[in-house]
Amino acid sequence: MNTGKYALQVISHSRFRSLTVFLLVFVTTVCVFGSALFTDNIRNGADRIYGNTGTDLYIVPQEYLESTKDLLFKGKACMLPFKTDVSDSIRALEGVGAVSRQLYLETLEMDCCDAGGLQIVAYEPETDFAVRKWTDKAQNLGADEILAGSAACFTTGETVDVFGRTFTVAGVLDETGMGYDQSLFLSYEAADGITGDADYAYMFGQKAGLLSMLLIQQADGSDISALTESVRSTLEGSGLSVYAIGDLAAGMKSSIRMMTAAVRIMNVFAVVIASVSLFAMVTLTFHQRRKTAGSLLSVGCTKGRILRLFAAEYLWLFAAGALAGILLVCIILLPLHNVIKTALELPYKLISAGGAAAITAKTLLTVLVMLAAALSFTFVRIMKIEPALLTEENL
Amino acid sequence: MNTKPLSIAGAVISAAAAVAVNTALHPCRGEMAMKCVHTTQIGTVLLGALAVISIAALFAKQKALRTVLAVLSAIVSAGVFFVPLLGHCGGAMMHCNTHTMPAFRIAGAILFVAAILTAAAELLRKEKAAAA
Repeated sequence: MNTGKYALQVISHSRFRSLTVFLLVFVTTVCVFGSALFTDNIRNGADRIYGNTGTDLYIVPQEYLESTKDLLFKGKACMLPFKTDVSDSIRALEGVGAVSRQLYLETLEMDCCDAGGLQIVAYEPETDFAVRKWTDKAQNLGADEILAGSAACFTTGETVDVFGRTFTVAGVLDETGMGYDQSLFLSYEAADGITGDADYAYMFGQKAGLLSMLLIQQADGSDISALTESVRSTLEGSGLSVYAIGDLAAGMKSSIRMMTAAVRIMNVFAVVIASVSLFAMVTLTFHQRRKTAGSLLSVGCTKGRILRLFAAEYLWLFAAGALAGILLVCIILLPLHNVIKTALELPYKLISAGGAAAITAKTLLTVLVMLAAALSFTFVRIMKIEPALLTEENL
Repeated sequence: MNTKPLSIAGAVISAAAAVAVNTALHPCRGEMAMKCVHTTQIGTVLLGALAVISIAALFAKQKALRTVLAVLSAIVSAGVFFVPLLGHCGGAMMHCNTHTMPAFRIAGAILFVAAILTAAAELLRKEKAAAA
């Protein structure tokens, strides 16, 4: 009989056992694949913050430090007003390569939702080096145009009403993994129009040129420690502080470490429980079918052929369980990507297709090794017994 | 393979999703007519149609009819998956973007897989009958 057909017949004959093995493989795959994909997405988001912001130092008001962190890493909307503009004195310091200003505004809450307002980031297209990392359109943004973060749920060409003005979405940023993904970006020219408007005098005091954060890029070959010190001394008494991205992200880094460790521990428990259950299931099944194995050996069937017959059944169930597990994780994690990113309050960025393929391969290998260990141990034990004893004919 | 459990699951999931997107996972509620509300109405109609198709498949006796219903179910569930493209609100934290649209995506994807499995099972059954 064909090995594959025999395996399918056994599966359909013993449905409860097949369903149990299927569920064990399915649950293990969901745990291993799902948790690996989830934690790798978090790590990918954090790596992007450390390596690709293009900003070496941030100057923010001391009293708004927590709000700044929330904005940068959690995407929580806030308004950060600077009392003094120190950009010219910072620009004049030795070792400073570029300085870019940003202003953070929060829109009013929408009447249809209790979700809060939208985060608006105003930047100077001429001096900017941060936003342009994620879109080519950042340098040529018009006063009536706006850029949207990847998770802000806007599409290019759409019109958006912000502070009583209508803007056209000129482009959508690449996924940053930061709070910028939920933000909208407009030029300083447009922001000045809003903050200088008499209608919003109660919010901005009818002032143009407001400032929330200064981003500093060091010059090539300059010393970052010396630069930090000179910036710090320049800021003395101004109520402003200078931070490297590592300082701002220190608390978040430990949160990520804690979360990934907790997920890993749960994952190990799930794999151990599934392995023990699978091992018990395979042992029990082989024990029940030792008479079949004995009969096949008696009529001259090779051990390899018997192993193939028995293993085929488990390989079918392994393929079905693993495929269903991977499919379920993709069905849940991909449509919920932006929701997870918003709710998690940690950097979160989808890993590349290559990274996902590597996780899939690791998951399949883990489940396959689990199955192979259970099968080989039980098969070797049974094959050591004489065929007559297996069939129990002479007992 | 008996396809009845898949049809029952399809009917239950589509009915539950149709109820959920109009209750707990509702779209944004405002004084203005929101895009997401219209999208949800269209999605609800598609989910209702899927529930009817799944129930019809339960009572269909001919294999050909069951196969056609499974293929139809796959097409409509793909429609449910892509229904957010019809329009939704801007803003990541809006209720429609955090609840309603993901619900359509997940329900659509699960129903699509169930419909494909049903269609494959029906086609395989046909091959078996022809071989016999």
